[in-house]
Amino acid sequence: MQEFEKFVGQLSDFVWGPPLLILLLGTHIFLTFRLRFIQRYLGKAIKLSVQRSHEGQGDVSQFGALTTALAATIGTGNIVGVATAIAAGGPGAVLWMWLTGAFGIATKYSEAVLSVKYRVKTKTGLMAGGPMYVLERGMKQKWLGVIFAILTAISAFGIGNMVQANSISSMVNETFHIAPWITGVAMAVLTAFVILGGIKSIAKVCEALVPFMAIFYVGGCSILLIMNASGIPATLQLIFQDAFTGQAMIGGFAGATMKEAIRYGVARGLFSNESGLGSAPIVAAAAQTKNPVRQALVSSTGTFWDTVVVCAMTGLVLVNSGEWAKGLKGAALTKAAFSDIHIIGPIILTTGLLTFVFSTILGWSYYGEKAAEYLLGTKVITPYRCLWVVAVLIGSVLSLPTVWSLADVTNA
Amino acid sequence: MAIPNLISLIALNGVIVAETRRYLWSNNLDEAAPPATELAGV
Repeated sequence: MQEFEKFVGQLSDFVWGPPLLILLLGTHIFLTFRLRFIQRYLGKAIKLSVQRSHEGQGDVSQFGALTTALAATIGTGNIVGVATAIAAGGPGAVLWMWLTGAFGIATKYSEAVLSVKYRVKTKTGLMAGGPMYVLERGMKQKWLGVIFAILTAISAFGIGNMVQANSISSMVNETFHIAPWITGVAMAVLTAFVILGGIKSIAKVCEALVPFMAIFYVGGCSILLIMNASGIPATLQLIFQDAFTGQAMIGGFAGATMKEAIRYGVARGLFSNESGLGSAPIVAAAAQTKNPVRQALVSSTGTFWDTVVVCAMTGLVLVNSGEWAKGLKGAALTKAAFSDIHIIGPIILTTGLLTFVFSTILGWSYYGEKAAEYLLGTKVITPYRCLWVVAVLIGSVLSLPTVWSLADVTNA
Repeated sequence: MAIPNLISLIALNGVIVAETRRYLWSNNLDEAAPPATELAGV
């Protein structure tokens, strides 16, 4: 078992090494230029995303598809992942993360264009789409579509389910001293309640939950920043300066070169918004839309909200707190930064993490389900949903270092 | 997941640009696209 864990860990490091990061960032930049900076339509895209239009084919509203994708995308990475990037790359990593998100908008847009263009209507009357259909119908490479679907179905149980369930149960156990199995049962019941109703039920919950959690978290971060407002100009200066010069050793912080700021900032930006991963276009295909471009514009705002807004707010709060200079890392840095403001800080952090993580379980259930449906047909839907609920329960009580690595490998 | 998806994005970048030109750059965002194919076997 130890050898297997070691092998999966090494494979994870290899597939998520520089070649894939360069391929992802290269695709972001290539598509940005190819689409003549599609980012300039962001205002129009945001306007479209909040319109409640029910014209065109599809199962859920454009807003429902966007919020379901955001539910899956916004997770612990937006909080703890940003802390990890700052701890390793210094404050300058925040700027590189932000820039990566800005370029990723073009990739998220492109994925959705193809997904809606090549979507199909299944015999249940519901839409099905995503990279597996693009690879089969657009590129005429069904075998690649099958590979994508297999990896998505496996990956969903790792990154989208057990890892997330484990995060919640550990967090609740640490904060409120509630046994993981109790949290697991509660979470499984809640998950079943939502996902057994299919995409319409998931989208309905996400339409309410995602704006709440995003506004609550961003609002909370704003309060934290306002309470330390005098430090904001210096924080911004530090982020911009360090992005191009690196950060010398200070206090407990070991120092970071410009190269490290770029490496960790870009990697965090790439992992966080899922642009290029192929997950978000699966739900974009379910949207009620007149044409592929309308939904693609709406979907592209997901990357903006995830990285350019949520990750950037986390980055500002963490750098502004000054705790990074003590050499704290990951979860410890996040906890220390948010605890600077008594009572409010920890509440914002805990509520943010709980809602982000639970919504990820809901969003990814749809991705996994559609991948399984592509491979085995509509008969697999109900058993898949039941299995998903059971996995939430299992994930809550297990220790999962190997699942993390396995999830990373299948994501690549 | 990412690798097959990135392959499709790079290979079909011409389709992405053509769709963008048709609906966005030509100001036809309200134009309806052809209906999705119905697959009886899926």
